[in-house]
Amino acid sequence: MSTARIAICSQKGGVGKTTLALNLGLALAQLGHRTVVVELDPQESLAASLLQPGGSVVGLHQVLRGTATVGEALLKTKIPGLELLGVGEVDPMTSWDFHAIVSQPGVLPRTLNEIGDDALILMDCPSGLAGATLGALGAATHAMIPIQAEPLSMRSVERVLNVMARIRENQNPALALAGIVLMMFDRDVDASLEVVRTAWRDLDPEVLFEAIVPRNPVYLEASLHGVPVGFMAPGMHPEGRRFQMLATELLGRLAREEEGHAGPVQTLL
Amino acid sequence: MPVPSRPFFDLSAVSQLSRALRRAAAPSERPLRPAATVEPPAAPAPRTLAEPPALGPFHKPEVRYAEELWLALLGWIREGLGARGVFALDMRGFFIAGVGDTSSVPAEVLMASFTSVAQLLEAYLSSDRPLSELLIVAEQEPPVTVFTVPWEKEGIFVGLYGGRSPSEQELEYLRQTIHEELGGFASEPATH
Repeated sequence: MSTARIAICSQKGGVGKTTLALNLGLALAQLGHRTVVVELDPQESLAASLLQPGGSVVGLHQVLRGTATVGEALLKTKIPGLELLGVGEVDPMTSWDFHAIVSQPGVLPRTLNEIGDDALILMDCPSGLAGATLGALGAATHAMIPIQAEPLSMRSVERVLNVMARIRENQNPALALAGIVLMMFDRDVDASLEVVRTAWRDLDPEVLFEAIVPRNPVYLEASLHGVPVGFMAPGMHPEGRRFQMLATELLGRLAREEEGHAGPVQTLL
Repeated sequence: MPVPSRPFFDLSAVSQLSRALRRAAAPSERPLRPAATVEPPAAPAPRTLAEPPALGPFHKPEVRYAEELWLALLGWIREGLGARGVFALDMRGFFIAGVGDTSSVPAEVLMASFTSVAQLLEAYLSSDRPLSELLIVAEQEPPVTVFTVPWEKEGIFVGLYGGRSPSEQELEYLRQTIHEELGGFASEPATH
């Protein structure tokens, strides 16, 4: 059973971090891994997707402030093995303080320890490379970088990697890259296609995940219904299977790391 | 008209760095768990903007990364000028950092604000005035103020939505403080 703490982060907003966290979390749980999705974005995108209006206001923020325990804040879902630690109520006027607390070295790792050693933790970070994102990278074993398949998003990846390298050097030597995921790919748009071609050509196959998430209206519909995309059709919507592929790739990488190497997979023939 | 052929973009640095960070996942390259040895500090008391805003001196917190320094600087500006939010962009429009309440401002209002600022910027940049003098204010709800901070060859945009515009003296002080703090922190800003 794999355990890892994965920060899902990007400098650019709107690239699909929350979509990735939610749907990958579901896929990992369906593959039999206890998975906890931790929301670090005070905008509460994840909780807003999943909870009924007026749902829980107790979450990570309250845990960090000492007014709730992790046990009280951790929400079980209908999917066995999938749990959610929402950000909780964050007063917009004091969200600066939330970022300040989360980014203090040692604070978030201590909280995540209370979730237990048997879980895969996915941290859904806010956009940007400051505040809670720095806290997540300081607490993570891995970072996963979703990038929108368009030029501006691709250009911001180097900054994320530079910040990762500095955090690894100065604060968290356990931090490594799990990989880069191409999101919102539109095969009918030349620029999008060119980004994907360039990424395939220039990035190491062990860095770039093979699973690509396309632009598809079903993601908006899933968001409207407050469910993972796989729930949008009986059995499983085809888009849900993409995340199962991604989850399988991720688990393969984690397993190979445990075996002692993080290099490319050997070919079968 | 044919589109000129050129490399789409150069991913060589990304390729090299990402490979190194991916290989760092091997157990020989790292401990199995992130360090959690630093005692957590007491949670800071909630801030309030009930007091009339005034731009006081900047008290630099203990920071490890330029990004944290940016947050502190923008938080200071936000509090001092009573803004709903403050953000910093590089001259190419890349987001560097931001603080404040974005959720209470409808997205379409924000977008309209930035569009009008962009139009003002465009008009300004087409004139001969030096960029370092830039201070523009879009009179709308929320009002948006953008000023530049000279930095290296280009500069940095700092924008506020809501709150009040800085006075001339305050603007000079803001620029000087940001420039000095960033310059004293590292040889390169967080944008690089």
